[in-house]
Amino acid sequence: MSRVKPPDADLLDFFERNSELGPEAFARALDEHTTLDLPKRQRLEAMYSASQGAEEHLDGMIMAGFQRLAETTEVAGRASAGRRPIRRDLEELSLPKQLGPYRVLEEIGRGGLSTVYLAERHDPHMRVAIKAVRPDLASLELRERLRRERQILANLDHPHIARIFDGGTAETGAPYFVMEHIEGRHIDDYCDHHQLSLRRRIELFLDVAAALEYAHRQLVLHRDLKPSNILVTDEGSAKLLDFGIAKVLQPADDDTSAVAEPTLTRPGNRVFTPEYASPEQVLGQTLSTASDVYSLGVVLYLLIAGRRPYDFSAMTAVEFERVVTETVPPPPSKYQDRAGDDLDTIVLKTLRKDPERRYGSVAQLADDLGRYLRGEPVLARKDTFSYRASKFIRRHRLAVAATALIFLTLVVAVGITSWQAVEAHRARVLAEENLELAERQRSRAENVVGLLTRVFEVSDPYEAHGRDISAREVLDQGSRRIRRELAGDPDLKAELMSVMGGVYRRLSLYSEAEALTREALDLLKQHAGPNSAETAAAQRSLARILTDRRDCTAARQILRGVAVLEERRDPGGSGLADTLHELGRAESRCDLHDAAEQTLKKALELRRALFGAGSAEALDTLHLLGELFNARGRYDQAMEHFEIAYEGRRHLLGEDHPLLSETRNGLALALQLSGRLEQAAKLFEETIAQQRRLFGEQHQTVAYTLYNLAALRREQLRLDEAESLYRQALTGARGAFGPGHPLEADCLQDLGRLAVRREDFAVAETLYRQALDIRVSFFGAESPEAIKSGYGFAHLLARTDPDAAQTAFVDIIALHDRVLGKDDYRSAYPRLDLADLLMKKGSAESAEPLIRRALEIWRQALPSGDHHIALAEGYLGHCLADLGQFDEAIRLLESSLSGFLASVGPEDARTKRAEKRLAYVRRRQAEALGTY
Amino acid sequence: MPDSSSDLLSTESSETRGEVTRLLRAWSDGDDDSRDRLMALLYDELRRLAGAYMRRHGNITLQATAVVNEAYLRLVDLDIAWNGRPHFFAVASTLMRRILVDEARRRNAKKRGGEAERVGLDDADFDRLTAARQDRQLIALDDALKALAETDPRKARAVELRFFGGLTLAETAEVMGLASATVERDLKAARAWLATEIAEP
Repeated sequence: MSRVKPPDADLLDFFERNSELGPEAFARALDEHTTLDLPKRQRLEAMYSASQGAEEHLDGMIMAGFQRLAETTEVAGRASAGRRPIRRDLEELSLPKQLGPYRVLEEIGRGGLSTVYLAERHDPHMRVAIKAVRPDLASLELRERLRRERQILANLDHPHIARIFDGGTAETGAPYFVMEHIEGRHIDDYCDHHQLSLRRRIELFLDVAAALEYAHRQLVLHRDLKPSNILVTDEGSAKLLDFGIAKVLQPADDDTSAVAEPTLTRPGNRVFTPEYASPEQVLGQTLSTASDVYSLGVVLYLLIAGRRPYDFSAMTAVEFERVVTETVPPPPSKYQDRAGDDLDTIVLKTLRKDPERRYGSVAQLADDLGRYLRGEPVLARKDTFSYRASKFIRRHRLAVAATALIFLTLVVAVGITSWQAVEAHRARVLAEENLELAERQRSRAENVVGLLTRVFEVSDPYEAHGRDISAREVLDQGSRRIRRELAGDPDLKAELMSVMGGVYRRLSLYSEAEALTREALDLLKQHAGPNSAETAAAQRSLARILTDRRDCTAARQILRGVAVLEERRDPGGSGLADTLHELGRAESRCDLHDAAEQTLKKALELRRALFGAGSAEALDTLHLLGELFNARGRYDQAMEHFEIAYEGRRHLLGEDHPLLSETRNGLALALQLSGRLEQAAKLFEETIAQQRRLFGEQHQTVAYTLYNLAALRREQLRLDEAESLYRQALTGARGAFGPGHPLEADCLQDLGRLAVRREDFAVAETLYRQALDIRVSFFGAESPEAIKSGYGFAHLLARTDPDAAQTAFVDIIALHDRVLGKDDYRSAYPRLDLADLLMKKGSAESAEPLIRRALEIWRQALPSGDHHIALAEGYLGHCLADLGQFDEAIRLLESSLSGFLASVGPEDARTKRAEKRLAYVRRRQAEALGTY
Repeated sequence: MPDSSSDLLSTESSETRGEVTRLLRAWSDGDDDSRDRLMALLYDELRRLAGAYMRRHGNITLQATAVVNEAYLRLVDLDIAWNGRPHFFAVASTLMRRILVDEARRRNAKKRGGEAERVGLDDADFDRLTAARQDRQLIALDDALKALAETDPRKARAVELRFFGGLTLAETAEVMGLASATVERDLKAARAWLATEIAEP
């Protein structure tokens, strides 16, 4: 292989500086750069045009490498003996030679979850297929489901459905089904092999549809329809296999343990076959017969067009999910000329994203296909544009709102509200005989309007070649255009980029937000000057993004610099107030509570002086102070602040404003944290109802409030309710943000805690790991969020491996002290956990100093009378009683009891436990005295 | 039957994990010998995991990201007191590149040994030819990356992390200690140059 010549530095340099230009500007730049020789010029032109698709190109190349690796390592893995096998040894999976009346003959197929064997019985003589599930996947729960489902499945009796005769669990622990043995080809194979005409293909398909319709009437879904589950015998009879087995392997949708099957429900690994899965399956939503209609539609598409509607072969999991849930497939007639308009309409109707928009039943689909075959008009209608548009808006409510927000800001940015206003403005400026300025204003307004038109052009489905465009794409398109097309007006460009940055931030798309805002900042530094008010504003936006993704140190650094400048500009000005407000937020998120309190109070004072106590600005700061007091454990103060902010905001903004829900949530949280759980729950429920009414079901604010309520129900030990609320919040978070958002991690973490309580440790571990993964990649490994996850792990270990847990808690205490500070009230928790562990091992001596330290931390950090203090006193009393120091123990337990009585009331479980504990220790003291 | 990936949940033996974790720590503490030993140890493990991963997931391709993430979960003891993640990803991306390219070179060399020439091509021949072309492209990419590294090592490294290690833009920036925007610019130029360098005539 010839050696590649390294590129010249000036080549790369030129490209880097000019690659963002439009094609003509790039060509001009090449002309102006006279030192470039012809080969370099040609190379740069090639690079410019390649830069559009280069990413996919490289990705594809490397992907191919990975795929080839799969082939070669498989061969290598088989050849090299003595290697530790990744999968359990296959021996373990196999069935015994004799299974009840069946003699197992040979393996005839193997899937990821199961192996299929040919078997026979003698009396009466028949051959059957036995499908055995890998025993390592078979939890007790799965076996139970298997038992329940078997009877239902055995009752399915239809000429085009392969019968299920029996099932059970082999001695090896492998659950199995005994099924009718079908010899035949996969349906697509069969059609191709016999070169069936379009009509014959549809007729064969109708047999399958009839079988499915029959099953649906028995209330059984198939859930995994695909050609390999539809066999056609040599006689040409189609048989549907594996009915409902997917359901058996996957917890029922209403089953509270839907997340609980560790092997099957890692995100993206639910039991389904990606190519045939319906959007609702991919999203993990409840399935209905419409889901089967969809999968059947994919099969129909394949039979007609000779290929599947989508090619997922080079997609990431995220792209896959997006395509299945958002992209409308090309009509089959694109690949098969004879398909025609009616067949297109029928097939596309089965493949609609919204289950309710598909055929209402398989029978309706079959009827329409029948009409098509007879040449009658079909009933299916094309999806209308207005329907798709309204759907788009519903699905992307937030993003559309965001886009509308861009629009508004754009208009404000150029100081106009309409074309008339431009004209009026121009007239006025003309009167002042300032032609140049007028000209600039006009061209700026034209720029903005032109840009907007082009951004919205792509959201017209006809422009997008029949593909649904997501709001995200609209945004991306918008920011690309701003970058590319506004080079002539850097001020406007910077302003718009910064606006777009804010929109991305609200959608939690932080890297895009950061990139745009940083670019805006660079531009402003150049054009408006590094010390300008515009630059300061952009720096605040940047800091806000950094704060939101918990990069608080960087945020604080920026803001402190800006604060110095602003103070120099005007020590009582709004610039300084805004900066302090943001700084306070950053400090608060970093858990620098003292500093945050000071900063926010200063910001509040400034804002009150500037705008008045009831102003939106002052109320925003007041709300932040409320959140800070919640974090500091000063709940009464928090409530006071939230109440004022709430009244003020309601007065300013009306009853239905989103900021009102925000404040109400804060208030509810304060109530919850101070132990007034029922009051808090009521408030959360009201908020959820309001948010649902205002924003719809799948909105991020709903997800957040659901999460809060779930946590509260968990605290009340109403665990079933909590579990269901967490699930709803989880679905909401994934729906609103896409996978990988911190809220998703919070839900997973808490579901993990519920699993621990159920003693379902394997499930808990999976959930914790998913949560940890999200948090580490989102916030970094030393973030408080990641620490919380690690803490979860340690708790889990405490149940399964106390020695390992002990080490883990020691590490976590050190980490808490280092990252959060030694006196942070949260660092008391792991100390008590470790103490608890030590006491259970009988070493109360080593537990004592830990509990004393925890108590000290809480006494310092929290107001006296806080229930945490009562809790730590209880622990210490218990520990000292174990050490025989009864007098002090009883004093502490009495104090603990009165603390609980005052903070959470006599009915609370914690108060009752404190009573019992005190009585128990008094009895022990009496016994001790009696003996000696 | 649907496929699932149960063995995602199993982890490697604790000795392997312990050793990987220990070496990662030692390297992050400045012991460069550990890096070499880590590379040697990880090479096989990563190759095996990547192969297994790709087989399991069939044609839903989750790319390097998923492979390396999984390797991290399996091979490194989770320890929140110490963040091994950037270090692990830094070596894993280099290794993934080496593994993929080594395989491609090995297959390519074998092919040159030459089968007897036949007349006419069947489907299997086409598959083989496609695969051979993919191998050559990967080798060309590797050669071009080496050349790029001579002029601008930072750009080459960014490509390695982003494409072979499957890191996101933000993660790449974090591992390299640069701003995301810088890495993005680097990648854009590097990609364009690489794409034009290895374009088939």
